Amino acid sequence: MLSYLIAGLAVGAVYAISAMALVITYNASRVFNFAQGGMAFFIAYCFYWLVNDVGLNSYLAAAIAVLVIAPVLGLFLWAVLLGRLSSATPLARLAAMIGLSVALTAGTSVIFGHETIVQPKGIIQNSGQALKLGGVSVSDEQLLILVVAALIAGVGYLVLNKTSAGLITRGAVDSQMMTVLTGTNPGKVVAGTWMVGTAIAGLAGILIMPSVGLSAIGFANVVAASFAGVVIGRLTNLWWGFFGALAVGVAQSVVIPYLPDEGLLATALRPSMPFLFMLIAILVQIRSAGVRDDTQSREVARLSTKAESNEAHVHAVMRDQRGAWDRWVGWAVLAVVVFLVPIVFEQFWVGVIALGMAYGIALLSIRPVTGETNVVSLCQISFVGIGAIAAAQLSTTYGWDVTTSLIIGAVVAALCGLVVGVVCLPLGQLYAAITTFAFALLAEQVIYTRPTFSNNDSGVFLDRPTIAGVYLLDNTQFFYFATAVFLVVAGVLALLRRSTAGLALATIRSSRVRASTLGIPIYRSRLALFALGAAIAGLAGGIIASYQYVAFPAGYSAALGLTWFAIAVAQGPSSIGGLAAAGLSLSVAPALFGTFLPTRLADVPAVLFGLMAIQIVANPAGINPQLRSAFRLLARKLTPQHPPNPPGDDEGVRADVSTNAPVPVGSSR
Amino acid sequence: MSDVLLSVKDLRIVYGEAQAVDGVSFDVPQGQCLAILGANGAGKSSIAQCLAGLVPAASGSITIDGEDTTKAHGHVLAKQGVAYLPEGRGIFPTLSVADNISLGVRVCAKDKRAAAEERVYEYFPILGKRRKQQAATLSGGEQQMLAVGRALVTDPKLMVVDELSLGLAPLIIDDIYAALRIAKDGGTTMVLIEQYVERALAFADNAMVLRRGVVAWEGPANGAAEAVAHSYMGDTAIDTALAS
Repeated sequence: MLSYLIAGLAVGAVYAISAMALVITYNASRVFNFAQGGMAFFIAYCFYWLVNDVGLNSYLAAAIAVLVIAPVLGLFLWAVLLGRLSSATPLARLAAMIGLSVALTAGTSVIFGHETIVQPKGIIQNSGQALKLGGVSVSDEQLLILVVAALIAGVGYLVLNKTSAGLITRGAVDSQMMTVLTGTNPGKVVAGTWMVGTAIAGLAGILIMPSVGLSAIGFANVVAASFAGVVIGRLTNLWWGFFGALAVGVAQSVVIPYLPDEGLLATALRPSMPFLFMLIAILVQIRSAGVRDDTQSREVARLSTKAESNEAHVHAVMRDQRGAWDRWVGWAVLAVVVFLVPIVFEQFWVGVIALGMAYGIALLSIRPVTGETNVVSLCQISFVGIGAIAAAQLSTTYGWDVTTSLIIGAVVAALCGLVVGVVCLPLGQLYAAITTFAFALLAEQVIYTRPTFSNNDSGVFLDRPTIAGVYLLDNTQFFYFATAVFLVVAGVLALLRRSTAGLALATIRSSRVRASTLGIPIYRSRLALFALGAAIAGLAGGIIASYQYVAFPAGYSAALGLTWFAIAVAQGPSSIGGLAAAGLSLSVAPALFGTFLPTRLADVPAVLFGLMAIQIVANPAGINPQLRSAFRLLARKLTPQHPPNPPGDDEGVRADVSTNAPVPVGSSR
Repeated sequence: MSDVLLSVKDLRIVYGEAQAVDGVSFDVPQGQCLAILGANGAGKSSIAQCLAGLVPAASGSITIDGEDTTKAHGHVLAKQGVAYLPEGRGIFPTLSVADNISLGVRVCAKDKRAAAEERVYEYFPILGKRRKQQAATLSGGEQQMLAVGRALVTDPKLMVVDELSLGLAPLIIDDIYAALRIAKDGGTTMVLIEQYVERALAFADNAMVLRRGVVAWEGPANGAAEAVAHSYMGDTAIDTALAS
């Protein structure tokens, strides 16, 4: 047992260091660092490069990576992005950080190479036994991790509590305005905090590297485990976060002797532990004093309200720019595309575009969840995977008709969505993002790895459906099928928004207090939308698997889910055209890069998707609505005398804005 | 008349499309106090925040002690001797009383900080008994004492005080005004924004009444009562009251 305890302490110590970095940066900037896994990955890779390619001593390399590269990275990111996030909406903040995570992780692969290094050496290049404790040997690596964690905790405590820099930081955490009034530039405090936080995250990455390898998913798992500690510490309590994360690591290790040799418990319990700890912490917090996150604090709420009113203004300007005929242009373009794609392109590219439309259906699931209920769900990809697996099982294992299997797959995903929604909808936006991301990782490690579903990592066969007597063997036929399903789902979502229920949802989105005074069932409405989103994702999962002839669970990873979310938000989470464009980008961009460019650049599309998500800070409505707006302005100029806008044809309350003004990018009005 | 310390010319403050302050001008001589009065939404707090560098001016100019501070940041102004007491409680709620004061006196020169800290406890001895206590757990009056004390001991050349007496018991307000009086007598120039009109007019030398972002009346504090009534209740209400 002692050996398991020591091993658990070593792993937990890394989680704890990572949690500490998350809490420090969140406290000072109110920005939750979803990109910490990407930062740690980049810095660990820098360390690896310095040791193996440059030939530096590992201790010197670690010092350069942690004390030079990491702070410079933190300062650079603060200057170009993070410093601007404090005045963005909570959704824009989250989306930008997720975009940064995607761009950093993919960018690291572009810079350093695509291959996963399974067992890289850490700071101690030839690890051996350091000492014996109660008859149990403790390795050099374990001892180093424990000493470093203790040092960071100790130095952190002293700096925060005994120095003026620590006092200023604690003051800035309390109130940025008051910090200004005491003659301190809060921007400098926040920048310094990001430098320190990035350095600590990088150190955690270097320490855990020998255990998880140099792979993005390994780092994502470590950061997700530290999320549990952060939730235990209610996002802001450094020491609860530190020791909570430590406890997760210890618990993951000490249960090993009690696990059965095989079965669900044997493989599923340990990876589930961060999620279980998180769940328990949330339940305890709800019972004691409720769950709060940044969106509920007064100071942030004031900033958010300002940012949200700016965003509403952008949307209002766009609605008011609607001309007489230009609204049909989108449909005309779609009709031409549907007509031309099978004629112009070869079957391979038609298939790529068909897959893009299927991805588009999956991304449509973000509209009811994020677009309508304002919940940042990072597990939509898990519902896609669940739908794919369920459809494949029903069709191939149990012999059901493929079309029926696709529909039942959607129902199964909707049921899973209900369960996740019950947990995360009562929480704030940030907590919901954390828990849904944790669920995505849980699904990846616990559900998808079941032998029945993974089929020795080769996936389960799923045939293409037969619709109205036509077996969709041909890619062209499948393209028409996927496009038709996309249009039907999009139509349902558009009608939903224009219906009475849609009006109720708009009221909830605008103000829950107002909605409750009108007797609108807030929780039930949001839960129904969340389940609808999961059902759409599940249906898309079945269609994607059917196109590929296989439900391949590894294709629905949490990390990929972040990329999906990033591109969807970048294009506009409420825009149907934007989500179609995002789906096509997910399929077409990698195919183009894979076909025409070297393998080394395979991750460039992901970098671009991440960067596109980051620009949401400047353009909160998304790229597609922005382009549409520019086109409408052009249409206005080209139309000699356009009739006045008909009353009540828009999706919300019309604002009194100048109709000829261009849409203000990054409006600060 | 003594030298003008604060001079505001044609100040405009806007939030998006809403204009909070429109063309306000005033001067405050060295060592005097100007009370800015008016109903909710008149633009009083916007002016206070603009003077403290927390809200940008859309146009116009602010000059403090001969220096143009229109575009200066809040932390720079704090170091230059502009102390702002915000509406509510200007404290760091999760820090202890001692930590609050330590942060507050950081605008002083290093060798004067320890003495400044002790002066807070001389102004408000009750805070001396609460040094280790978290600021959020103090009573409302003690929190305001902490905020005022923190600002007073830095010997500011300009103090901007926003809604000082909000939610406080009269006896506590007396104590706090007594401390402000010491600072004023010591030469500190003040801009006082206050809902408690009688108290403000008794303390201030001059007054200015704002109405929907413009100056409705200005003059000596002892002649402001009627203008204030018009501002708070509206002309019709006052005329009706006078007629009856």
